[in-house]
Amino acid sequence: MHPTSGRFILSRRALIALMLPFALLVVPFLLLPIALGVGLSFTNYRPFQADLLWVGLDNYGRVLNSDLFRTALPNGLIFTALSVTGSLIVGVGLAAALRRPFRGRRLLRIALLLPYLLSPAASGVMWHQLLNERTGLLNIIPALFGLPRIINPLNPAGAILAVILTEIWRKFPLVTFLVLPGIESIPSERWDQAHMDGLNALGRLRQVVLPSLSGLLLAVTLLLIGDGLGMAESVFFLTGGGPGTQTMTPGLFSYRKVSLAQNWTQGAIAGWLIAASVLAVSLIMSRLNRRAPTDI
Amino acid sequence: MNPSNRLRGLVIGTAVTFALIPLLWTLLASLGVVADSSTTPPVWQLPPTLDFYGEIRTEQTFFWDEFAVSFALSAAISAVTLGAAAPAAYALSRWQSRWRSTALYVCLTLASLPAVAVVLPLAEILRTMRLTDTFGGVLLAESALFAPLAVYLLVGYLDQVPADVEEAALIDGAPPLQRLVWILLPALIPGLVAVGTLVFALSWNQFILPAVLTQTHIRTLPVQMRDFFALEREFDWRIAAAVIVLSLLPVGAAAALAYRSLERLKFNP
Repeated sequence: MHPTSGRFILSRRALIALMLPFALLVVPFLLLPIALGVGLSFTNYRPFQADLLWVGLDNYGRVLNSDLFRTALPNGLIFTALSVTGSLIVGVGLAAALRRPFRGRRLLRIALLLPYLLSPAASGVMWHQLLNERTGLLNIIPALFGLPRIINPLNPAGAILAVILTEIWRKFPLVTFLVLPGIESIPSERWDQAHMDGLNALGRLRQVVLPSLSGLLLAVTLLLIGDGLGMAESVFFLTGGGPGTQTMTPGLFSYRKVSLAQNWTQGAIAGWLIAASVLAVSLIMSRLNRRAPTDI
Repeated sequence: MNPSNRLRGLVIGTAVTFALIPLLWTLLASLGVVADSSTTPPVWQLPPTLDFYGEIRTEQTFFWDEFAVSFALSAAISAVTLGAAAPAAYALSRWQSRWRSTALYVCLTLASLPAVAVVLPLAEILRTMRLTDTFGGVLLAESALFAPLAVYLLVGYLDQVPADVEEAALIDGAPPLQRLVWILLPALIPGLVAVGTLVFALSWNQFILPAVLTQTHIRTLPVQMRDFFALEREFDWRIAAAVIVLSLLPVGAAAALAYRSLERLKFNP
């Protein structure tokens, strides 16, 4: 809905003046760190070290060859792929179900924001306890019926599942919140048409929701992917990256390298690789967006 | 009830249960109501008590001081972020150029960048500026992190005022500043309220930046959680639950108060 009339245009000077505070904040404290992350990754830079030498790709070799990072990298990709897909399916499904107003819908929407408003750190602590063998939520149901309990729910397979589930729990409410206004703006004739065509839920999603909201969904997906690739503290509090290193992620790798191992270089490279992958995903998605049909 | 309504009820019911049961369980635990499932039927500890909220202080002496610091910091971050983002969002909203959508997409990309991706070089920059472990350092770092998201969202609000309305006021001869205020305010206020609330919540919950950029002077709640509720430590879940409930209260309340503004959020300008 941006202005189409040719008369009202900001002067170049006004434009620069309006952008200045934003630039003063973002250039030194966001863009410069990204640039430094790239630049320093080719050097032997370390805090409190005077001489700076060019080391080429040495640092990358060391990180990519470390066993810990070789666990963290595929984990990061798998956790992101599954938690983003899960959050989108549950979130969009719920938004479609909430499409028509009913009594109490507003209260429900506020309440549904709560998981996203809980900090990832607190959510990690909480889910660790919910999955506790003796006092957790998970084993209450079998205990009620005298069924065998799940011993150590955070076993290797369970821990991976728990990380993904926690992420979906935290982020599907955000998806619902961001997508619902878009879903409401789809004219009801389209839903009626889909109903007459006898489309099931999946068909309605493909024929009605996707074509109208592709731009919105791509934007939400990019936000979720960035969040997923940076996943660190929720895992830190939930499993600590364990058992062993089973649930290590690139974000946690970076944090652990600096806080425990005092290895600034490896931590910074892991951080820059996360930034690079978010930028790459963003580029790919901008291509997809250009090809997608325009929004209503 | 037709089948599609039944499906709708089922989807809503399941999702709400999945979203809220863990929080209710935590609320109960914070009141001392926990279940031991090693017996059949499970044994519940009753009656509910507020004791564990009181015990936070015996465990973490500075809990409320750090709660206050977190609150002040998040409020300041909201203010600085909005101050920097609102003029830029206005410029983008009224910018007639084919680069407009590119600029918005760059903002979205920066907003998607996780903090862990920039925090280590950022810490070096702040150290050079002697801002490590200071209120100002965290304030600038987090405001810069959230400003692109704030711009992206505020443009969505400002676009709800069509340019021709603004143009009409311009032709009427109203002075520029007055024009800006009277025409934009109805869209700008909900935008500032909603985005301010969101930035408050994001900074209230931010872990990596304060964890790396601060040591002892400035400590925020998530960092405090690291020191008390990390896996290596034995801790009382009921006290942890009380801390979790308290940590959710300010942001939950803010979101409820700002709800009418949040409802107008358009994520895809």
